[in-house]
Amino acid sequence: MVFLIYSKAKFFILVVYLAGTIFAAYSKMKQATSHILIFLLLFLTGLSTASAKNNYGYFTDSIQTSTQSQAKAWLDSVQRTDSSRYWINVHPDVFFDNLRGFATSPLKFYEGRTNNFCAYSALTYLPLKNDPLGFCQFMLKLYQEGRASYNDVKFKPGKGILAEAGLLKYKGALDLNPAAQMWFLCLADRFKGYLNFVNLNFDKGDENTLWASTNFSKFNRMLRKVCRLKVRARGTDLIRPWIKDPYSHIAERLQRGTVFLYLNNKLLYRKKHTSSRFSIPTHYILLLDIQKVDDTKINIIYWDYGIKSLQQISPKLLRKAVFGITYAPNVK
Amino acid sequence: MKNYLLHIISASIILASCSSSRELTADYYRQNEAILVSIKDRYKKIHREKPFSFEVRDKNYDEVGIEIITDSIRYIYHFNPGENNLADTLQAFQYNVAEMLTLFADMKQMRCTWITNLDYHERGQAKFMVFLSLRHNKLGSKRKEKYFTVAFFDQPQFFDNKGRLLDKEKSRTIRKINGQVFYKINNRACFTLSGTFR
Repeated sequence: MVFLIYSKAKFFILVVYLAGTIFAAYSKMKQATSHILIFLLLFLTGLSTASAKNNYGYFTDSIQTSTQSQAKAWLDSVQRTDSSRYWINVHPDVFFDNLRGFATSPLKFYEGRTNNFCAYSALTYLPLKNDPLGFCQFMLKLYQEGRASYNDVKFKPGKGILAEAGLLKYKGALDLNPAAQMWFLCLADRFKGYLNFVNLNFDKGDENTLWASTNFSKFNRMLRKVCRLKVRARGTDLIRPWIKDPYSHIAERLQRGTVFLYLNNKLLYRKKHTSSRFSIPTHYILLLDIQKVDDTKINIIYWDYGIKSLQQISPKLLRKAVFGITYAPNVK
Repeated sequence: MKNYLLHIISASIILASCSSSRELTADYYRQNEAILVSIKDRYKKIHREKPFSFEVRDKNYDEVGIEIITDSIRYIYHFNPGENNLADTLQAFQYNVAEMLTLFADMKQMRCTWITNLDYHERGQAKFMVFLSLRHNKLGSKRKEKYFTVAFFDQPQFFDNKGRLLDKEKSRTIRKINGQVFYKINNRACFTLSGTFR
């Protein structure tokens, strides 16, 4: 049923995209044709990948593969390297301090302001919680060799990415975290969804543009591949999931695993006083807990922007804000 | 020739409207400097002991929000200012309720919509500024940029000859705050006009 709804949503998005590109073809024939071809190719690839996921043949039983203390001990034992010849703007001392932060305070991992890194930050919670040692080892290899694999996902960033990490500015605490910049840029470079088609190649400043954005299908795909988890998802990029009681649905899944919500950020963090008729999701959060206070209030406890938050909202707001619910069980 | 003239006239109108908005906001700041600086100073004093941010969630001040930041968690609550829930919550978190309610009343009088302490980084060190947004009536309801935002710094800042906030001394890089270019009011305060208040 889930996959039926999911494929219906994908079909809807395909129709919308094709209509848009056909319209655009009147003005730019060549560009529109190339968009259609690329989109069809990736859409079909996406479908085949999604169906292959249903077998779950390669998962093991435990999701906790290393501990924080193992990661700290490894970081103490490893010899500090010289500057990387690949990541020219990432100083080794700062890099190692960042890795220590990953291992000791995963909930302080910060995505930065005014960029499109929230999806990458949300999913990074799982490697930091379940495999801090493996993640730190991967990051060091990436730093030293300019390329590395995490859970068999190969990361081989281009020159633009290698040069940009360490230079992102005016993003709050992310300015001081070049290791996180490396990871976000690598993820955005490695995984592509249909939103990225308009801007596939990185140029300076693209962390704030569609180059870095993440549609719901791409988020679930990244989660499956990077964390090697069974992932179940309800929702789409444009239409809210048809769930009778979102609170009960989310609370029930939260008891059995990790839940991510894809939501309309403007409802959670209001930025202006005019409301738009067209509501779309733009933000990913990791949900830590959900509690019903009374019939009119729900407490949601979630993690984003490097801090745990408790926000009191109405059941109506929960229904309006949530466009996607991703659930990863605590067993593989 | 006609097209050429049309372009010149449109460009002049756009330039005139930009400069009048800037003059309007700079004048507005000068006329209300005492109360704005007082709001900033009181906010900083309370924030130093118990960090928080305050927001107004609708045009008519029917719903306000407070973010109370502790070491481990940030609490975000929304209230109707007419009810007692706001005072009860402030009491529960051990704020000086009278001081806070006076601050909020002054913010309401000035049409402030958002106040927070925002971090920025200079030479690898974290620093903070007070970020205060106002819904500026004179900007009109049809303009996209409805909010007049002031950033108050502790240290003197650097500006270029157009008054734009710079990254550091002798730098040509323009410092953006929340993706916006800020303009000089004085050495420690600058402003922007924005479509969003946070």
